[in-house]
Amino acid sequence: MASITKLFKPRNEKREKMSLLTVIMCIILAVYCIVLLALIFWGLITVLKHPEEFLNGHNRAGLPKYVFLDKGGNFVRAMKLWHKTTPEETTFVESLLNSILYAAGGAFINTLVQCLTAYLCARYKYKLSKIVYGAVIVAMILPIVGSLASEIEMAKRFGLYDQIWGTWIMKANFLGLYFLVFHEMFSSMPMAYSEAAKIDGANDWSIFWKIAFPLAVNTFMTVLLINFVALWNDFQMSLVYLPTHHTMAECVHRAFETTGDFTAPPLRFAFTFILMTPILILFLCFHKRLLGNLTIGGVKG
Amino acid sequence: MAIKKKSIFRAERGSLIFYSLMMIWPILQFCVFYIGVNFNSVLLAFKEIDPLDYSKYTYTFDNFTNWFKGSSWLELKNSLGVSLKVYVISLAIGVPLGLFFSYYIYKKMPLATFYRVMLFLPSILSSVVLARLYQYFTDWALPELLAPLHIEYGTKDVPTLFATNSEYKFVAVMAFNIFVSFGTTVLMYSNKMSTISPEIIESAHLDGAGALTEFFYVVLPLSFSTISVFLVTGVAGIFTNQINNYALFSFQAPTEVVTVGYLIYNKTRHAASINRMPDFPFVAALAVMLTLVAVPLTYGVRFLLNKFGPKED
Repeated sequence: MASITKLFKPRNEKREKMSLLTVIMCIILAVYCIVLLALIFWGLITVLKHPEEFLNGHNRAGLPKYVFLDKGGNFVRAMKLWHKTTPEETTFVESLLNSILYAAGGAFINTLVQCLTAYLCARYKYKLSKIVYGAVIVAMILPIVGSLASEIEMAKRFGLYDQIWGTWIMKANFLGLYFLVFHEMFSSMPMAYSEAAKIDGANDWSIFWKIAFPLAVNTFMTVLLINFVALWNDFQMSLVYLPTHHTMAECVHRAFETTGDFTAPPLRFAFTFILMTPILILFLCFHKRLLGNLTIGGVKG
Repeated sequence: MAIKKKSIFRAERGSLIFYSLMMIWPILQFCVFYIGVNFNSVLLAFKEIDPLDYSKYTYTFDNFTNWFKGSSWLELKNSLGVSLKVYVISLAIGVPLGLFFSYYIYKKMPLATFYRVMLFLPSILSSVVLARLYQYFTDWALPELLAPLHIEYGTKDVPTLFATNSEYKFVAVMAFNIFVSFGTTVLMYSNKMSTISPEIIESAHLDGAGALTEFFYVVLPLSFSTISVFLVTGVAGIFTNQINNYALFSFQAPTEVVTVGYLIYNKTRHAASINRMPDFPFVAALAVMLTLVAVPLTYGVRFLLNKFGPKED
């Protein structure tokens, strides 16, 4: 396992001249950005249209003839109709709560287990540490396809199915790339800190919480954020494991599948914008943390 | 001396107790939800569950052989073809583009930071948000936008429902998948590239290396350890990639875009939603067969990359 994690440090050297290759790349990237921004902008102007204007007025691509924000427009209508997306009539507030519990709880438990296991493997040179490290590498390389049916069966057997805390337990594993990130971080931490603390009478528990964890808190927060975003956006797993505890992402997915009140795209897009607003705010606040903290090296095992 | 030995022993015993206690949960979880689940998946593949009493079952090979008969075989053959096509296209277009984008960001060319943020943006938005925006834009807005072209230049009719219901749906779905695929890879590649020593780049410049030479002979080999991680783990993606079908089409994806990953997910989700346990073994059998193909394939690619891929040293 070569270098796994390093804090991202911007280099200070002078900017180089552009070559033909970089000019072509710049053009392709500019087109990419224009398409992406245009897509989001189109979604936004569609939400601001009256459903009738989109469906019958044949104004699907243009700017709205008037901005439909009467009584909150499509956004408020989407929140009011939120319960109609699910058979259990899950309200907006309920699905918001489900999403927070599913995403925040799952992300925190998963990150904590990965961090703690990586710490134990990196700092305690027992045989089990090597076995656990090996298991992570093998699980990453060994492709196991489609164990979903078996996992659902096991979840039902253990009473974890359709329980938010059940998904936390299923996610409380140490497998994955971020174990390696934490492992590299704890391995590179000088032993002098923990040895000094031991001399001062600190036990292993306080060494982890008072010395090692504060030093790893930046990486911990980055991984936590990445996991939270992934779980907040996930609708496929909640669709399978939480058939009656509907998350916001799942309700948005269902809004596109429900007919009747939901056929008008401006209303459907209001659902998508409600879902992505918290994530966009998080991204704007923490984009440096999300984009700059992690690198991985080759996996050799 | 004896007191010192005793205190060292006590400290080591304390560490061992702490280590053992802290390891209980991770090991237990791993045993149940990795080893147990996968072992159960193999067992499940051989089961024939009684549709009237789910606790009763017999063992059979039918779950395996039934995949090679009638409509199931046609379904599997089609999805395997689509999955392979997706893998080749992603490898031929997505990977090189991702590497060139990373190189651009690594070289800190104009707007590099902005492009980095924009390339990562699709990764933080839910696939259902972006997929539906794309689908509705191509289905509804694109035909309206391109309609004047048709009048002015007499081009072929702009198909309505471009992504959902035209002869171009595979192209449309692949374009979307490549479009949203750069986030993590570009981030990891460019971070890895930024660890290359500036002295190496400078000496390449002194030797007269241009941008292409620098990219292919310096940057690519020195970043290869990271690239190979994605290439190796990507092999299993042939059988797991759902190409955002569920976000785009829910459970009604057109045949032309159905991949093996989508087929497995959709069949499992359907069985789970109506609580039909007897359908699980059929899906588990396919999963076991595909794992048996994916394992040697992954290790083969890993072996080839280690043997013939560029070396950092």
